[in-house]
Amino acid sequence: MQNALLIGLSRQMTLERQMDVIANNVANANTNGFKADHSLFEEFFNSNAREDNFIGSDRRVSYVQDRGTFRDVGQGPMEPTNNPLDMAIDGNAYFAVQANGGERYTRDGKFSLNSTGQLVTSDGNLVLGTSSPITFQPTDHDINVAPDGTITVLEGTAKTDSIRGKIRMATFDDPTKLTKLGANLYDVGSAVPQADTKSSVRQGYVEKSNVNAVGEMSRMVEVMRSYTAIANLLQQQSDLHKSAIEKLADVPA
Amino acid sequence: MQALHTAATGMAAQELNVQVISNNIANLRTTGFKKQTAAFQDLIYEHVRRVGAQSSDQGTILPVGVDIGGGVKTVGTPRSMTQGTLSQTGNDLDLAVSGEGFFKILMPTAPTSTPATAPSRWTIRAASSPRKATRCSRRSRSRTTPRA
Repeated sequence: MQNALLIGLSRQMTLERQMDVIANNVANANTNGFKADHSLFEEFFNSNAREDNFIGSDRRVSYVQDRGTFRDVGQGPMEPTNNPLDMAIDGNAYFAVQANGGERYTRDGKFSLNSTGQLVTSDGNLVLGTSSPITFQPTDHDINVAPDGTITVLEGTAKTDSIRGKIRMATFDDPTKLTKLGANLYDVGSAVPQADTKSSVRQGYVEKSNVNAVGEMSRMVEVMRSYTAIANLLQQQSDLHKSAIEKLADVPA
Repeated sequence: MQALHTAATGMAAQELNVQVISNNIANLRTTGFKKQTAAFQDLIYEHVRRVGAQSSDQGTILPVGVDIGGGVKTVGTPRSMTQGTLSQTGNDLDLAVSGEGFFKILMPTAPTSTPATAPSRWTIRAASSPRKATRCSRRSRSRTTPRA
């Protein structure tokens, strides 16, 4: 008798979770290098709960549960900034950065320099090169980043380029294994970073968030409608119970 | 309702973004002004089910986890130090820097009253050395490091 209530409730719980995910996507619609999350649901059989009013084998009651959130690792749009230290990756690779807990990965290429001339992220984490962090000299100017990540500068009055390092780009066989740590960083987890050869660095661009704001808004409306529909259904079910109890308990005079 | 808090962080971030943009627009005609952009980062995630966790005693692992993000934060408003357009004024004392340099300006040691702001024009004072007539909106410092 209570199955419809419980099934409806399981759906509402997953919808609330989905709304949390959508809200986070919308909140990060303007975050550089952000990758959108989407919800995955699956059927959940409850072997103990059965609907005995059916005849035949159709007796199992199924609920819904959220199975996971998967990440859309597609390319975000590239925005030109004309800033020589802004870099965007065209491809599947990630920038390697030195964060508090060790080596982390990011797609946010809005870099700057710290007081000692090292290339850092907006948070001040060191951006790693293929051999060491990238350090500039006080007299360096005309910074150029080649598509393969090699950084060259003109030092002082020199007429020839000096190499300041090469941006390290890493790819993963299964990038969904990376976990988001916040602050645009990814933790590598059990995945093994590999040196990337296919992706290229674009200087003077930042990769914007790959969240489709209009799509997220329509999904939000969808979740709201669905939630309301189930709330109505539960209300009707409750009314049905109420009237059944009233009618059955009514003793004719 | 986590979604409401998450959405609120997004609104706060976009409000700051509008502030930064409106300051840029307000300084559209400011001599030597360098625009700022707001940079954002995502907040930490609640890992409800962690990806790669074992899902059965046969050793199967979860291909996807459940990660719920907490929203967005502003990490900074970096200044874009790119060259502005140079306009010819015909004034002998109007100077512009082509490249990464700055003008170095000597401020009075102990200002007793708030100096009025003025456009970045140069005039000759009685001491006959070119100086800013009044306080300039630029920071007075020499460049030592390459700037973004």
